[in-house]
Amino acid sequence: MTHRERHTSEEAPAHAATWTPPVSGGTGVSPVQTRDRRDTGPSGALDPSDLWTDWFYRASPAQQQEALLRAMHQGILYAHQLTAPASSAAPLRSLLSSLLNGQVKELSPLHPPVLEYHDGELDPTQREAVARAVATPDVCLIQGRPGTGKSRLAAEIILQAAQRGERILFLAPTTAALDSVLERLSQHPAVCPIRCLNAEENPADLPPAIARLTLPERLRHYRETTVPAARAARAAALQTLNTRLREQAYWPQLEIWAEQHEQLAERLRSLTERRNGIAAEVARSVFSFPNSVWEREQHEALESVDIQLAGLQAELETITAKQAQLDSEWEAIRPLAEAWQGWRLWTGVWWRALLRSSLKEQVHDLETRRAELRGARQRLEAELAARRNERIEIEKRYAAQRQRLQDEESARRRAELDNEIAAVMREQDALREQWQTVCAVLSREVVPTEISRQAVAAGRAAWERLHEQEVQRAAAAEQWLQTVEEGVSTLPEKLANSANVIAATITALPSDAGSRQLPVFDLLILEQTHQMTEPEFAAAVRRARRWVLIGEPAADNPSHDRKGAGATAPAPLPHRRGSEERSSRLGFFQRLWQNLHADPCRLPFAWMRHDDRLLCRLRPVAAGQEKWIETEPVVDRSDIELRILSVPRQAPQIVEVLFPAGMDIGEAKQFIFRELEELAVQTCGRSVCWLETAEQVILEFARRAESETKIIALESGVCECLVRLPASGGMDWHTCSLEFARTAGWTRQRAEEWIAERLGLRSPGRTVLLTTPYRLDPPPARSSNACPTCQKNQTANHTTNTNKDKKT
Amino acid sequence: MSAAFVLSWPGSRVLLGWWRELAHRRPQQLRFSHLLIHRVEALVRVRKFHPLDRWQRALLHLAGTRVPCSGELLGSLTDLQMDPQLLGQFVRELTGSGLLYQNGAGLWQITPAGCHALQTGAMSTIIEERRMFTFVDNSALGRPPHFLPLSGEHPRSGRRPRSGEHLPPEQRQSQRAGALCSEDCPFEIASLEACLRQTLEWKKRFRFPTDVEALLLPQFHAGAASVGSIDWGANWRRVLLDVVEQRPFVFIQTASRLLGFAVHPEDWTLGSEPLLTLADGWEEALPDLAAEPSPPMWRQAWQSWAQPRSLPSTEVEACQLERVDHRLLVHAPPRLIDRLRAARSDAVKQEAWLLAGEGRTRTAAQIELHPL
Repeated sequence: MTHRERHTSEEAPAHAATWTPPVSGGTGVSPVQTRDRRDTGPSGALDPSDLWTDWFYRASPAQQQEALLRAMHQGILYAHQLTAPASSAAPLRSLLSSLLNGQVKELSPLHPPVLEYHDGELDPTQREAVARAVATPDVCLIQGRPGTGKSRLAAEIILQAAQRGERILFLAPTTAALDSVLERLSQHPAVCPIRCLNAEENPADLPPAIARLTLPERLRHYRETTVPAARAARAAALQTLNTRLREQAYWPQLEIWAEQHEQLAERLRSLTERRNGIAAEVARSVFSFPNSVWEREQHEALESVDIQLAGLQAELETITAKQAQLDSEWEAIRPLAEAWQGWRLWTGVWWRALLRSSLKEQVHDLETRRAELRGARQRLEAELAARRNERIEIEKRYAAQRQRLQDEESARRRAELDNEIAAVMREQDALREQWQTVCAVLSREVVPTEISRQAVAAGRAAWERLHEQEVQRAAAAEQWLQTVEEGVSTLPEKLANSANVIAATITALPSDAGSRQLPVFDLLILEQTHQMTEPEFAAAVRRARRWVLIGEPAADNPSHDRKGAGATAPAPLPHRRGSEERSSRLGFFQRLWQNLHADPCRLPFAWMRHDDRLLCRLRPVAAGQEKWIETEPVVDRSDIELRILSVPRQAPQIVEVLFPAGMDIGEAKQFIFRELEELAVQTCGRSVCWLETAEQVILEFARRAESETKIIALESGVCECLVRLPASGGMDWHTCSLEFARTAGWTRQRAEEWIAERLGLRSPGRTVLLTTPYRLDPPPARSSNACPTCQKNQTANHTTNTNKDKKT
Repeated sequence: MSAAFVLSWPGSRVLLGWWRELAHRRPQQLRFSHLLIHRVEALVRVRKFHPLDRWQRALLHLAGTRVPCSGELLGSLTDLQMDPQLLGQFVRELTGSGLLYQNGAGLWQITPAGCHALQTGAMSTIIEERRMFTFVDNSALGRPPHFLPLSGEHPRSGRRPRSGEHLPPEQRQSQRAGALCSEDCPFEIASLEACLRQTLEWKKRFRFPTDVEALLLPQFHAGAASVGSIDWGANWRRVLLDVVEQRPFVFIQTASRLLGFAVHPEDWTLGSEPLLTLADGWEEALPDLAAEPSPPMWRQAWQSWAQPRSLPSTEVEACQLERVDHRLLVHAPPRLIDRLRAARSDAVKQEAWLLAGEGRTRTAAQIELHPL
């Protein structure tokens, strides 16, 4: 299976009924692939199971249409309904022959896609070239003088094609052309180029960036870098695995220690808790026994005191009662006594007290008794207080004694617990020390965070995960090493099949050992195609479906000649007579270019000033034919002269039209178009470009410069846009575009047919001309690096001066 | 206008030669058929399995080994110390086949398809390619076409049949002269579609390709009236092409199989190897081969054989015919046998063969004379 077969997906060509093979698209995953049954190798042997494809490629568009229509109606096509295909040759040869013979009508128009470019410095023309090269279903020609960026372009095309999953065969006549492109690709990750060596080449003699792309150097890098790295990786993986395996033995012990530590911790907690509760424990346990001697003594003493207190309290109550009685008796006589003792003579109470004879004795008795009671009470109260104090003292002594005993017991017990706790802690310390010793051996990722079974379980789980990964990693490293070691012998074949760019000189390709195994490629890029011969080209194109040919114009490229006084006749368009003679002198690249490239400079029309009058040359006049030119005024416009070439035994032809002085260029063009049905376009552009907007279809010859413009209406919806440029040959107006209005019913197809009919220009979009010089290497013989207009001016001036010199 | 082709049938000596040529295969019956073959070319979707090469296996293994939680994925290609361009190309092969993908973190991971490929050692790719499927036209039998696993490069000795020539003579004459054959021997695409839907057992029995997953037919927009209104960009490759040919075949029935050999109609030579080999179930494809000609057909065949030899019709009609294996036992009157002996007929030497039957198939039998 080729790389193309893995990565190609089917895409719709732009138009129906043409045999445009599908262009691989997408940037990556495209599991659906299409095998083009033309992939039968360079021999072109027919696959018997693909008669339809073979017939379709050989058939003419009309035959294809008929067959497709029949298939649409019938659902299935029958072989006997297929007429013999138009071409009996193999498709590729048929295409090449068609192109060389100028049969370009069957090429479907090419609509280049919008791309994202790797090289951001490409100019618009170069980008267009890349887009056309990538999108062409058959061939694309790119022409440009030295220094116009062809190598840069080739590199970008290769990158774009590689990004689409294509396999590219890049050929050039010389190694210099090859390497100038490969240098730009040597570090790009999207490509894997193989530089094939010529028989006499030595990789050591190549620049390092190129040498590393050769098969021997890739193999050497592989042997000297990849294989040792794989060995080292395997060794490292095994070492890591062994280290990991050594850790395995520690886990059971860690689990035991963790359990022990937990038990110790629990025990320590329990002991600490007991220690903290010793006082209460002692309090509950020591003096809860009622039969203790000390307890009994305490109770007896208290009981005795309580009895005494009770007796005293009773006595006190008696005295209190007596006092209360005395107090009541006193209260009864108190007013009298107070009055009598106060000598309140003025009160009646005194006189009553005086009259009461026993009052004095009564009062004295009461006071005496009260005093006695008070004394007795005081003595009792003192006694009570003493007994109470005694009781308190007894209780204090008891409590103190109790506390002392408790403290002693607590201390004893505490000491015992402390010993136990210390023992447990010592045991913990010992265990922790062992733990840390083992954990120091373990790797950081698996060390348990704490001494607990949970942490050990987590650590072990982490270890097992890592172990599993490292087992797999070691296995992978082992397999990788085995792969790279065993792959040394098969790497050349693998490289030949996998490399998406094979670069070689024309002569190197058959001789390089790897090239014998090369399958058919998706894209062939030929650099310096102008230096190749047709047999070399034919041999190369057999290897690929699509071709991109990059080359330079011929030194005497007739497209550089300009119409003007004394200038040689420009090369006619392919469909005009006389082109075969010139074509035969051109290389095949230039012949292809001539047939595929719509060069408006080859149009025979020329506008010039002749004694301040506009002259339009419709056809070239060969040297010596001037004598056959007859002048005739237009019937209804006597101021317009028709110059008719009336060669004997030939049909007369209008070759020139001379307009009166002061006639506008627009009016003159309209006259030519209307009366003579000629579209006399003179442009400075070197190629045509179709542009489409929502409103218009535009055929652009040259970019509209920021100068004066003039729009000339030709027919309904069609107008010609002129731009004023520095005078060249006396003519300052040049056609920059023809515009077709969609509102008038113009479509791209219709406009193309209109142009093909009137100008013979048919541009299938297979050519791009690079004109912007970025480097003068070598300096051109003619000022070809100047803009076409300036070039024409210089050429015209050179021609004029030459003629003047001749006259002189 | 060229004359319509007439089906030709092999003579006795030809049949004898075939029997002897195929004797080593121990045939039990020999039949001759003019089969109308449809060689239908169609674009199909095929799932192909390709073994992983060592590089692909190793890279997939690496991508599947480094699990995401460790963060060490194949994304760090530099540790492989391979040429970045070379390794990039190897990786592109795998991503293009859907076996690897690059996750959001830019690291390469193996896909489920990649895991499966690693387990099976092969990766599958879906390819669209044109394949040829051979069907035998059974319309004359009132049946749809049936797939035939014709093998090998057979000589292009078949011809496109003219209108109706595959039909029995009585039907052929009723056809319009010059009509397209497609009208008389059309091929229904449904027959091919039905084969795709068959069980695996059926496909294996008739050796229908099991890697074909789908038939890709052109997609036409409803109401498309002209070629220009159809997106032929993708459709032109999906056009089905039917190469209809009438081909003569010799079939022999052995103990366990049915073998079919191509015949060169110019010289009646057989292909060296059988084009068709079917075991159980061949009657489904070629039902008329299983049908034994009726006694009247044998009688007619016997009379047709006897007529050119100027045998008296009464004696010919007096013969009793008995069919045994590949032989036709002719219990003939002694005088008839004497005539044949005098004429040094091949029948006396048991080298005479005849064909019986109707339609496209004839059953061959060796004449064995016995006195009545």
